[in-house]
Amino acid sequence: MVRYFVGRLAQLIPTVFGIVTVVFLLMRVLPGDPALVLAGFRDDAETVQTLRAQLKLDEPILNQYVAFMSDLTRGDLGVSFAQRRPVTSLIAQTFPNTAVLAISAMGIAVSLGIPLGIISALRRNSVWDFLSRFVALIGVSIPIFWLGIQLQILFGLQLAILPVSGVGFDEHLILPAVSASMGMLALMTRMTRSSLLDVLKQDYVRTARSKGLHSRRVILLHALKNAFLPVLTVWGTSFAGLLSGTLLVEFIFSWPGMGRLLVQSISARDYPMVQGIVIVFALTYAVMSLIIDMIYPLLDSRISHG
Amino acid sequence: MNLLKHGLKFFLLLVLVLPLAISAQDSTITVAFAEAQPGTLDPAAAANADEFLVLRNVYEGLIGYDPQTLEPVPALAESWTVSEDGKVYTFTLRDGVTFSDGSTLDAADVKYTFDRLADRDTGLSYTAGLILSNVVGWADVRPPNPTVAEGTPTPEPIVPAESISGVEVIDESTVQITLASPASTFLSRLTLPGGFIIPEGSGETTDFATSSVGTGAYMLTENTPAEQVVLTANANYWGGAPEVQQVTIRVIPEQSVQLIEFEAGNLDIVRVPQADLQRVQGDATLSGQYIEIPTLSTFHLRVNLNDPVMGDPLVRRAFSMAIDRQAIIDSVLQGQGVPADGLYPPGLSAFDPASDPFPYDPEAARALLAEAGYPNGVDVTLRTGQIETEVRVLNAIAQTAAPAGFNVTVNSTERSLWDADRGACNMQAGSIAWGLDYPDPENVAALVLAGSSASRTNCGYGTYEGVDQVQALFTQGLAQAPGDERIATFRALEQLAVSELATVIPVYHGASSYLINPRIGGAPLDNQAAMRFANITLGGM
Repeated sequence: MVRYFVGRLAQLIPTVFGIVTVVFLLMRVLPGDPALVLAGFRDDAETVQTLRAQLKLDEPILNQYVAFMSDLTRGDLGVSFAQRRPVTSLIAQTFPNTAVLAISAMGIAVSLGIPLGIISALRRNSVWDFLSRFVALIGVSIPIFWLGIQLQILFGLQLAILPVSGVGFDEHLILPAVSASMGMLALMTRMTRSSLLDVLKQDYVRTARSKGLHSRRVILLHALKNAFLPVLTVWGTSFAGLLSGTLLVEFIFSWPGMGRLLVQSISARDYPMVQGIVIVFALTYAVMSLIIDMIYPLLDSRISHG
Repeated sequence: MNLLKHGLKFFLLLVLVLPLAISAQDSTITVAFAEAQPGTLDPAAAANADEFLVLRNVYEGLIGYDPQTLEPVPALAESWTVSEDGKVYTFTLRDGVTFSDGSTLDAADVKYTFDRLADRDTGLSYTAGLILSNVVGWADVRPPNPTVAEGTPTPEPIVPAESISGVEVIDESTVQITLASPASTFLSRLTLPGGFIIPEGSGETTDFATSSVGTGAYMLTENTPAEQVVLTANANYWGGAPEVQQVTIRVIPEQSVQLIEFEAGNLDIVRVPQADLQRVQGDATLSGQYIEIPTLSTFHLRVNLNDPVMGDPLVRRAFSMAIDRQAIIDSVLQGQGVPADGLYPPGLSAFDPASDPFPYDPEAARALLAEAGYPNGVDVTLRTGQIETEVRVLNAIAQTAAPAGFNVTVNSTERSLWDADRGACNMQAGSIAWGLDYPDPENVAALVLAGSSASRTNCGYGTYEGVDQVQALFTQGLAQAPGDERIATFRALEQLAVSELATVIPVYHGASSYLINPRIGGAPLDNQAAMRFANITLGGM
């Protein structure tokens, strides 16, 4: 188990290395000049030249790459072109915002989605099933942008009980978290429902029932535990997706998170910032999938990392 | 007894503290950044409107500008004299001005500021060139990179001078600036953020990108990236402490959300997005809080004069005649703005309301186009960035130009891409929303010449037929003192370069709409639509 864990961690290094290299090259292949953006889009050739020299963009790409990599091994992600602050400090500032938003959204999605899915599966084709499937359908099909603004108008403007936008780990969090949770909520509901329906048809559930076990006990102990495996898989990958997917929510709710920073950095051609954020996303994704792999054996003893 | 004592204490507390709390609440205002957020807050490096918004309230230059007339007015320089040949400016500094770090303003601070602005490594803003490129010694602090012919040894790089010789300290409160050639725009240019004065030596100890030491009515007290900037009133401000004690400038990237925040009472001033104009104007409450300010700007099409099609002045004139400017303003811009036939926006003395060289006339345009050798029409691609209004204006141009035989394709790409292509002259024509840096015709006239402060990309702007005459008029106008003769010179330049040669194709002069909370009095916005927090009075409600 420990060996497996260490092995997986070691695999992260080439993964991140590869991702960073690809991003490094992609950013430089993209047309557009960071110096021009910084110069305020003036065609002031001299200033642009000076800025290029300062940002070391006039050096051969290989030199830039070697310098970047050697800084990276020391944990130095460079200085943001656009904001002239260290990338690590900007990430340290925005990552908690995005993480809290994503975790809250996930909390809503899991605590509502799974019960909805269970009810849906157990009361198949009932009104409850219909309702929860309707919620799920809305969740996947509603544009977050539209939903967010409607929530702002309703709760922020007309009822005036919640802040319209802005950051804060208090009531400021409610509307953004609800908006961000919709997609995952829908996914959780649908996955739980179909997975549970699938398990309920299995022989061992029928066996348990025929042994005379109480129906609640069958569902909680036998069926749910097994139904959670695919739910867990989807949950893990979609949580990582949620981190980067909160972008629109961050825009609408003026939430200073990493998704917004990433998009702004891409259009400003802020190479160090983009590289830094991508590294963080890649690491988060990898760590999440590692955690999920660690949980599997707890749910299903047939899976082991011994 | 005890109860009475406590009661009294409580009462006193209530009487003393509550009004304080209320007044602190009342003297605070909240606004939002127009675009997204500032990058650097260093006056010598700042280059966009959001950065200028903070800087203009925290710093001051030698010269300011009048919020109404936009004419240069004394700021840190109490007075100045100009030599007869128009080259030597002598400034007398205001007495008793202190920086936010407590030090007192003197001539050495001014010298230090301009040396730092002149330094290639710190003076990164385009405003450095605007302010100093005509000052004696500029070529020494920024020697041109030697051009190397193939096969010859690389010459030794020229070591830049450490100080710009044209800025001299005469005594503790007198500074003299010598220009290489007379330029009546110099005072206007000094009002730009690059000229904002910082204390001597502060560049070594202060990270100006994120913090500040200035003389302005406000001090930067919080700067949280992507979230907000907070300014606090400077109680020691030489012009008297401002009424608004604290200003929070929030980062709200979505324009429509800014409007919702305003309606919810959380923002005091907001710019109205184009899409919401009709609703705001029709709303009983909001229409009473609505104001419209003409911006000194010229939205125009910049052309690649080397392009086989657009390089022909006949085609350009035909195109200009094929644009129904008024229709575009009425439909796309909801009436915001005025048609532009020339370079200068209304508000500049050089603006000529009588001039109308390109009335909408698709028939005449078609005839001109045929004369140019395209009797069956011609394909033109217009480039732009991704600002929605600009894209819609170009699409409207495409529609109104179609009857004249112009088959226009609008290509909207990411801004960096459009700028890179324009720089490389890899385009036919594209839109530029040119906001004037300072209220002088020279700042727009520069658009029709290459190598000016406005545009250094050539794309034929240095070589078109008639450029020598245009350049001569430009040089003449630059040297002339303000007055009728100077106006006549710049009008002649416009007549030649735009009315006849159509080197740029003007479309409209813009306006911006704002909503202002009724509790805000005074003049929160000047005539360049820049927010001036010190001019706000409260208690309107």
